[in-house]
Parts: sequence; structure tokens; C-alpha cells
Amino acid sequence: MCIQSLQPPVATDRLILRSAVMADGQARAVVAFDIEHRRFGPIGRLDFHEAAPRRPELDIWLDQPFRGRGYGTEAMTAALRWAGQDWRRGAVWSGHAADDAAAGQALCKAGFLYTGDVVRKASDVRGGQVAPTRMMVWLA
Amino acid sequence: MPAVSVRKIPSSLPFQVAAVAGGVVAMAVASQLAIPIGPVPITLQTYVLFVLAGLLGGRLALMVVLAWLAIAAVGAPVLADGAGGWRAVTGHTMGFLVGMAAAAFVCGRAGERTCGVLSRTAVFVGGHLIVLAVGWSGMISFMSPGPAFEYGVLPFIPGALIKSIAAALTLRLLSR
Repeated sequence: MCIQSLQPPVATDRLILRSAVMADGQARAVVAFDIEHRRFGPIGRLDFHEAAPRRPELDIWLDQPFRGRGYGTEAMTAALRWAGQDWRRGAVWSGHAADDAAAGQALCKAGFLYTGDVVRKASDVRGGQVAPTRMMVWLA
Repeated sequence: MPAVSVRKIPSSLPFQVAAVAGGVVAMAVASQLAIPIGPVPITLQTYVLFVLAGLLGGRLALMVVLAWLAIAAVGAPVLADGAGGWRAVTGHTMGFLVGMAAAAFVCGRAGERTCGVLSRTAVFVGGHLIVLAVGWSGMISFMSPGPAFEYGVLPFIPGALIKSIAAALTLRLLSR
């Protein structure tokens, strides 16, 4: 696995997304961003991973005190702009647990649309528990 | 009422080249008037497309669309909202662009045999159905058929009717 930093980092009014690109043995890219608040330092993590070639999926995780304040939407909007312009991806998929309406709202605010698919996926936020996940897609 | 048909269009090569070039410019201008309502914007592209199809006939209208897409593919900002480049042409709206090429040919050929506002409106409604059906089939590579219909077809039905009538009326005005 090779790791390479992307420069310059993606920046927003309140956040800086510092990234590393990692490629696994199957040459499927993984791009991970550490989300840093300009005042409070690291507050979470966002990553793109390609479950299949040219099918990047976005996951985001924020520390508890920073949830519900728009940081997730802000980070995702900036990361998706980067994915469209610099990483040259035309679509990015994501999803949220079917019973987590707040996550769905954040994804909608970032520009994701519901695909109509519900799949059972392991959730990192829930300690690997498998849950019905409503899939969404962002179209560049 | 006389039809505006390819029989009235000079067949000389310089005229046809000029007609295609003018058509490409018209499509590019129509693309800039975009209302972003979701993953697929509302534009005046199909209105201009069907006026061109009625004026130029199927073959030249198809050439206009192919030239417009070729120019877009090499990076010119001639698609909706100033988009351009290979990725814009082959992105989630590729189906709509392919549908426009098919509709240009079909409506142009049908327009060569059609006169009257009502019959032309019907032809252009059929053209919109082609665009939306092919566009929808492109969208379902990104999402399930239901949401693809919700995002890629449903919002465009009222505009398709209005643009079909407007294109037929425009051709009637131009044929006088």
C-alpha cells in the first residue's frame, strides 16, 4: 500500500480537510481526509473508498460535540467539490442507516439524492453492526 | 399552411455548413439558459432543437446535435450551465444528450412530412418522449428506476408540453 498526501488541503470557512491517498493491492483508490476545525483542531474524518472500480463511496464521522452544527455538510460539500473537479469522479455514493433521519438530511444538504436502494451494510458508527442502509448518490 | 421543409433548404454544401454552424451556436445559447432544479437542469435546448429539426430536416438537425456534442466533448462550455468536456458529455446526463440526437433525426424526418401547429406539436411531444426515455435509461445506471423517473422525467413533463407548442408556433411564424 502506498500513501501520498494531497496538496494543498481542501479548505472551507471553518474547516481544513487534510488528505492522504492510499491505494490497495487491487489498485482501488482510497482517499481519506482528516477534518480539522480552524479553532478546535481535529474533529472527525471523511473518506472515499471504491467498493468497485469507478464507484467511490463516501463515509464521514464527526466527534460527538461537533455533530448537528453543519460541519458534516460543510466538509462533505468541499470534499465532493474536490472529488468532482480534482479527482474527476462523476458520481459518488453514500448511505445512512434507515433509522437515522438526521444523517439523511445532512447528505441531502450536501447534494445527495436517494437512489431507492436499501442494502444491509456494516456501520462503523455502530461498531460494525449490520443495519439497513438507504443508499444515496451525488452526481457531479 | 405550407410546411417549412428541407425542400426549401438550399442543398449547397456552404449553406449546409452554415446551417449546422448556426444550429450549434443556437444550441449553445439555449444551453446557457439553465434552471438548476436537480441533477438535470431545465433548459431551452429541446425548444431550439425542435425548431431546428423543423427548419433543417432530420439529417441536418442530427448533424447539428453531433457537432454540438463533439464541440462540448473537446471542452467548449456549450452544454447546460456552461458545462463542457468529455466527462460532462459522458456523465449522468449522457442519456438525455443521446436522446436529443435521436429526437433531432426522428422529429426532423417527421417534420419534413408534417405541417400545422397541432401535428407538429404532437411530433415534438414524441421527440420529448424520446429524450426523456433515453435520459431516464441513462439515469438508472446511477439509481433505481423510480427515483430516476422522479428526478429525470417527472419535472420535465410540463416544460416538454410548453416547449413543444412553442416550437410548433415558432415554425408557423417562420413559415409565413
